[in-house]
Amino acid sequence: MGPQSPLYLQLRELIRSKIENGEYPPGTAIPSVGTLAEKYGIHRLSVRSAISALIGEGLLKSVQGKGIFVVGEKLEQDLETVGGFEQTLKASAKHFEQRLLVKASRTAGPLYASWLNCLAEEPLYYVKRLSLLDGEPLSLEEAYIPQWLVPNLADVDLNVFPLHEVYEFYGIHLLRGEQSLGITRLDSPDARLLDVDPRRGVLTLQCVRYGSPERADGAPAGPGDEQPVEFTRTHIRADKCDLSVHFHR
Amino acid sequence: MEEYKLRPGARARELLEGFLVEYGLAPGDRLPSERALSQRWGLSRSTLRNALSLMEEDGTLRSRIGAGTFVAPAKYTRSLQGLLSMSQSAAGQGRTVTTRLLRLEQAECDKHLAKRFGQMLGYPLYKIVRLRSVDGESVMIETSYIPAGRVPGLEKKDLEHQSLFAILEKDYGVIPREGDEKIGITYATDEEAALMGVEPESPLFWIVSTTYDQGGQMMEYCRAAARPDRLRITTVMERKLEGAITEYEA
Repeated sequence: MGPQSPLYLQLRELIRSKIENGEYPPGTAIPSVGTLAEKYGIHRLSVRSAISALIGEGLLKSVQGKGIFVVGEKLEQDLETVGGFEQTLKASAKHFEQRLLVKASRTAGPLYASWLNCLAEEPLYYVKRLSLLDGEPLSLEEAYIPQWLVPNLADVDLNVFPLHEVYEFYGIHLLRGEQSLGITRLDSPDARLLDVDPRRGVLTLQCVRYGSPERADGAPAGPGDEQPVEFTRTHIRADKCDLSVHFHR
Repeated sequence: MEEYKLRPGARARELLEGFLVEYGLAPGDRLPSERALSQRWGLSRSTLRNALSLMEEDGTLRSRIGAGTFVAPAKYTRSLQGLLSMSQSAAGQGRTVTTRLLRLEQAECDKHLAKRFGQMLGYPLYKIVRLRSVDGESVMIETSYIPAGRVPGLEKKDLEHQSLFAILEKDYGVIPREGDEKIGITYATDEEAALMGVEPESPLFWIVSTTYDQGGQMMEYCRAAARPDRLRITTVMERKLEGAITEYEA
C-alpha cells in the first residue's frame, strides 16, 4: 500500500484505520458516499468499491435508507467445545434459532463411508439446517449420521430437540471431535439461503464427532467403544462470526 | 422417509472427493480424463468441470494445461492448540518452512495497538513483517508486534533462518505460555496478492493472535493473512463441563 496504489484501496485502508482507531465507532454511520467522494476528490464508484469490500469483511453494514454503519465486535465462536456451534450460540445472549431445511435418508457412498468409518452401503440420515442469529442467517449445517445409531430420528422433531440431545436420548455421549477449517464458495442456492454473495468465501468447518453408544447388554461403554457418530460440514458467514481458540503449553 | 436427492453440482463434488478416497489417490496422482469421469457418473461435462475447478480453488486438485488434473500436494496443517512454531510443526509433517523478512522496524502503539497491549499511545514496539513459505510455496504473511523493551537489538538477529519464538526464548528469556487466536476472512490487497501469488481480492484466512509469556505479559500481537488453498487449520474438541461453554463475545 502506497501513494501509487489504486485510490479505492487507499480509501478502504483509510476507512479501516478510522474504524480501528475509533474515529468511526461501532454502531454509528460513516460519512455518506457523496461526502467521502467530495472530501477526497475521488469518484463515487471508487468510494462504493472501497465500502463494499469492507462490508464483505463484516466491518461495515449497509442499512437500506439509513446509511453505512460500523459493525461492533463480531460474535466469536469457540472451536474447542465438542457440543460445537449449536451449544455456544445457544449460550449467547442473542436470539438464536435453527430452521430445519432437509431431513432425509441416503447411503453413505465412498466419501462419507470414509469419514464415518462404515460401509458405502450404510444408510445415513442427512440433516440440513440454517442457523439464524437475531433473525439473520449465520450458518448452514449439513450433518451425516449412521441410521442404526439413532433409528428413530425420522420421527424426532429437530426444531424442538438439538441433535446432541437426541444422541443423549439414545445413550450416545459425544466425547471428542476433530475439525478442520477452510474457506469455500457456496453454490448459488446455498449462497441465497445464507444471504451471501456466491463469489465471496465462507468459513467451512468439517468435523467428525466421536462418541460411545451404550452396549446392548447395558454395560457402560468403554474407550474402546468409541466410534464416529456424525460428520458435519458447517458454512459460516465470516462477516457475522469469528472463530476463536485458546492455546497453551 | 424421503430419499435425499443431491443437486448435480453437489453430487459431482461428492463423487470426486469420494473417488480420491476410494482409490487412495495421493498427491501428484493424475485423475482420469473429464470425459471418462463424466461418462462414469453420467454427469454433464460442464457440471464436472465446475466441480473440478472448485476443488482446484480450494487446493485439493491442480490442473496443468495439456497434462490433466492432479491431486495437489497435501496442505500444510496447523493445529491451533499448542504452541508449536511454524517451523516445528512443518518439520513434524516433513515440510520445510522458509521465511522472507519483508520489514523489521521500530513502531509506536497507535490507539488500536495500545488497546491490544494495554499500554499508552506511543509505547515502543518492533513491527516484523514476514512472508512464510512451506516447501517453497508462499502460505502466509505475518505481521508481528513485540514490545521493544523486551527485545533490545532484535534488528540484529537473523529472522530469516531462525524462528522468532526461538530467538525470543533463547536470547531474551521470553517464553510463550498461552494465547488466543481468532480467525475470519479477509480479501487480498494488491501487495498481499503480489507477494503470495494470488489474484487481488481473493479470500484469505485472517488470523489474529495474542500470545502471553510465562509471566502473563503480552509478548506478541500478530495478524496473518494466509492462503486457504495451502493451509488447513485444525482443532480437537473435548467435552467440557456444563457451564464452561459460554465463551463468546457478541
